Amino acid sequence: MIKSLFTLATGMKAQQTYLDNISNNLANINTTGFKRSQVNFQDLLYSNDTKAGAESGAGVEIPTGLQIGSGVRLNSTTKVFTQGTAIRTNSSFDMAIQGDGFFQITKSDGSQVFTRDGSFRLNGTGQLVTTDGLALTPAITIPSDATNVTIGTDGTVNVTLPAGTISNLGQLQLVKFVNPGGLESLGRNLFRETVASGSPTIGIPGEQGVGEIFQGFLEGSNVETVTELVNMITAQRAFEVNSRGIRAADQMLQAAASIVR
Amino acid sequence: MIVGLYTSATGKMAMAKNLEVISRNLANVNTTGFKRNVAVFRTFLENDPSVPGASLARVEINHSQGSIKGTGNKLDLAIYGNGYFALDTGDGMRYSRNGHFRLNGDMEIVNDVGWKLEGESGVIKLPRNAKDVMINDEGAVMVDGVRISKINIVDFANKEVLKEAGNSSFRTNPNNRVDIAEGYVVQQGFLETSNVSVIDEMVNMMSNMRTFQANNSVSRTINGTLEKLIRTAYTVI
Repeated sequence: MIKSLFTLATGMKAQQTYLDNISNNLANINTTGFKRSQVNFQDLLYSNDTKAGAESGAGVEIPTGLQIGSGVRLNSTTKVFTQGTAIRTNSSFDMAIQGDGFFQITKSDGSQVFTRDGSFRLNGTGQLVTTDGLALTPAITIPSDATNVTIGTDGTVNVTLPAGTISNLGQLQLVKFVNPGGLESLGRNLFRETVASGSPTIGIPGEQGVGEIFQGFLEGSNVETVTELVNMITAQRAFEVNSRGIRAADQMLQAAASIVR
Repeated sequence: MIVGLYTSATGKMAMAKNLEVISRNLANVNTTGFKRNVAVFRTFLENDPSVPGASLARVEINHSQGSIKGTGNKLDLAIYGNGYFALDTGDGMRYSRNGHFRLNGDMEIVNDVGWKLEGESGVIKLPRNAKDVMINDEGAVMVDGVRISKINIVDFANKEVLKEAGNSSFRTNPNNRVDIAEGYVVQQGFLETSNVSVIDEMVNMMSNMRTFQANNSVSRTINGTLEKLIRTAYTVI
């Protein structure tokens, strides 16, 4: 009976971690470029008291075995990369990706990180950087006398100069991964590549399955409030049911221990 | 039969010790940087199987990550990943995950009991007219935009060498190697809460209590049998 105590404890802890994940999703309902996480549960190892198909006598096989499991564990979380709602901001350097792909950002130590958060700003030298000051790659520098900046859906950046001429500053690139779910979340709306995600492949926005860039929009989070609330209720009830089980197991133990008075 | 009495007594003592560990963990559910203790039991004398019973082998410290809570204070720091803050007590070094710091009269970064936080070049001291302190992911300390030091986050190859020293801190033998930690992130404005899992402790406590009761039943049974034996022997004479 002590086994059931620990089995139910794994159940309670798993529901607690499930709620932790739901809370993180709900907390990030308004985070630009946020992708919600989904948890996956797995049952734990089973004790093999009798193996199915084992021989019980000469030529007589047992049809089903005797296996008692040991509980549950959370074996993975998966980021769900569905498109978030586009929010119009009308800011010249806010960009939303419609479709697949990530912006490539270079950190101060030279490492490459990736994001869906397209809220860029100009730094002191006119270079496009994230709100944390990290540079967009490939670097785009807006001349200080530019009156208007236009970014096309294919990522081409055109500026209008005071003389009335239009100058092309280059084209933004997006990056695709074979398995975006395998990216490591670093926080600060940033992702890092791992062996599981595959190497980044650079693409032109709008071509070969890479998403398009929309200037003046931001991609909101893809958290669905209703789904998360329903999951929260499920987690809470599962937690309660497990704790009732623990109480029952404890009462049975108490009865067993007090057989001899 | 008397051996059985002593065996069940060792069982009860082991459960009592376990309860001490569990109570201490539960008492520290809200202590910043506390690392829960786990009691490890073994059979009474490992090299003498003829002496039965259980005893406490050691109390281990579980160094898993605790949850992080935000406080917004500039000098509250939380470490994600491996590593400990190195604190100079003036009478030896202590290592802790408790990142609640303040400034003392000399503008040095100290913890609640005045132990000084160690940086790359000794104790970290802020200039008198410092207005804003920023501590980045690696623990570098920036005052008004100027980098003045970096917090030493240290780690140990074998965490078994850390012994509890009070105030959520650990001490180790000065001969033990202290390495610079890798793969950590320092978050300013956050604190690491204790890593005690209330569910685990409650379930352990239940299992503990029932085991104690079972051992108690053994004691009572032996007691009853002994009593009958003595009474019968008495009436015979």
